[in-house]
Amino acid sequence: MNSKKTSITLKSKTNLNLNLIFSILAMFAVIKPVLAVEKLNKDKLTPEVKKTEVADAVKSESQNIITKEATVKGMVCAFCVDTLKKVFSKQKEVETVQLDLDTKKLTLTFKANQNMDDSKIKKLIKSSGYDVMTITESRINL
Amino acid sequence: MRLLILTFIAVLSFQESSYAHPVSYEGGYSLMTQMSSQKSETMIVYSPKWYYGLGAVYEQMKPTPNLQSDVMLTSSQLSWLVNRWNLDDAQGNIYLFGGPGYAHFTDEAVSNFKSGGFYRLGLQADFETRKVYTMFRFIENRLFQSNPNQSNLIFNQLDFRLGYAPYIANYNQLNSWIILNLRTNTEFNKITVIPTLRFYFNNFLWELAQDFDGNSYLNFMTRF
Repeated sequence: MNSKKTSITLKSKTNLNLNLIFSILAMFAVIKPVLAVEKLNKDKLTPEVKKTEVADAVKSESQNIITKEATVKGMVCAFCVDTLKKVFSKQKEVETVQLDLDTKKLTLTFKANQNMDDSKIKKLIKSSGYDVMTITESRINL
Repeated sequence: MRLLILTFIAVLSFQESSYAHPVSYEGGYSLMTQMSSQKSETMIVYSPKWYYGLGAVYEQMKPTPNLQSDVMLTSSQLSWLVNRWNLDDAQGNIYLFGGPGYAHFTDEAVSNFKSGGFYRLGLQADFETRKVYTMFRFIENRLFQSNPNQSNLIFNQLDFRLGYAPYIANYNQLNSWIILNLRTNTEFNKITVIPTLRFYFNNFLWELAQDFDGNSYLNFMTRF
């Protein structure tokens, strides 16, 4: 009788252990893929990556090219043109400088998303020895 | 005040070879040379501001009836743009020039002058459109040391120029001018007519000329 009781007790203990092992295995089986997916998503969408991607997207979508055209008083010779060309080519914002003796126009094209105040343009022309009549601005969005 | 003005004018000297604008732009340099059968001259000018320039000049002259000797003039100078009129299609300028230097007469035994310090004074006025160019210029060189029996005037010179552009060219094209230069000075005491051809291309200027006495002239100027 006693030996039968002992046998039942052992059997139920063994079943309990097996149930516990199966439960743990089942938990791993469920949790591991979830963690793996989570890790994958985390790798793909770190805040830094997101920030850079967004910044690049914004940048590529809003490239502003500004052109300013000044009419210069007193520009009558090749030396005058050369002077203004040298002065404006040295400015860090300026991409290209074009001058036309016929129309007395100085055309400045600035680097992407850069500009120069009218007051600075006037000051540079004045410090080159000339006067400004008008300044006009045009923008191109790329 | 008068003394101050006279002192200022006294330190001004003339840039003889500069028939174009003698002051360039802020931070710019000008190099000018003039060669003729009578003299040669080299000058370099730095412009801290658009209205004044600091320069150095070396000039060599051959003997003339007055000088009787080769002379080498080395001087520093200040060029001052007194006023500029910027008009829609024209520009007018008035310049004063001057500075002290040293005049070396190679043959003092026969020359009327002794080597020593000298000063230059000058005035230039010009007006130009893209078709017409006019210029008036006066220069005087005097020794500091005066001799009771001899004037301290080394030489002076007066130029008047009238130029015409046969065609209108843009910046990157060759600009050409035909200029008539009338000159009088203490050396030859007569009016010399000098027909001149001037060419501009980008930041280079050349002048070729010959007077009716057979003297040739070559001027060159650049800015950088």
